[in-house]
Amino acid sequence: MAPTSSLRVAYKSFPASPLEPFPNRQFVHRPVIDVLLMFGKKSIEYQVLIDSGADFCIFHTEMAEILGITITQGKKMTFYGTSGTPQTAYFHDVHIEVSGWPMELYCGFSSDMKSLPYGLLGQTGFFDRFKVMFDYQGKRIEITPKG
Amino acid sequence: MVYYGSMKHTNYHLLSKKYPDQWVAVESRSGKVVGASKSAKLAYEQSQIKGIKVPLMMKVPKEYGTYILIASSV
Repeated sequence: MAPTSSLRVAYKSFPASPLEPFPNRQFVHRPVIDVLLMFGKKSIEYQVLIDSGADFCIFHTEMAEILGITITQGKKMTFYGTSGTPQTAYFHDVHIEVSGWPMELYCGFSSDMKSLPYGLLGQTGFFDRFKVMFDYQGKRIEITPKG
Repeated sequence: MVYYGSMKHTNYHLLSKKYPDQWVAVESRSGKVVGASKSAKLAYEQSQIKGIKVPLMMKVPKEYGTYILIASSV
């Protein structure tokens, strides 16, 4: 049964090498959560970064291939990251569950995500449906569905 | 308030040493790797053969590195 109140999720910690400006760095802590992706009769779990800098939700194209989605049948969109290099995504409706909260999500699948270990949950599709509070010091994210 | 912690603690350090630049399929309750390949689909298929119907699919980087992420349409 889907929770009706808030959900508190821990940040995930990933190993990281020290950098010249951050010589003591050993870990990075990121608001990454596991979600369930479903399409037809197939389901997979997948890690996504809750990214308020993303206008949309964008996932790896490989997830669409596993789920049996014909990627290029979706609506095509060009998007940009900080480098300004144009990237391509194709949008499809999928069913996802965020810790038991089921929802339909219109998300892009992109083959330009190769260097990223996570999908992105962005403004349209996620932040417009949930109130999200980031508590970096407490290493917790609190997610509340909008009424 | 509901606390969500689906999976045993995942050793990301070990994953990045053992499976750099690969997709891994993980049995989410145990954290056990049940498929690994450069191809996500192949890693998924390995998990199906092992009877894990809903694996956690993870892209393992060489380095978890540094990201400043935006995805803007304009």
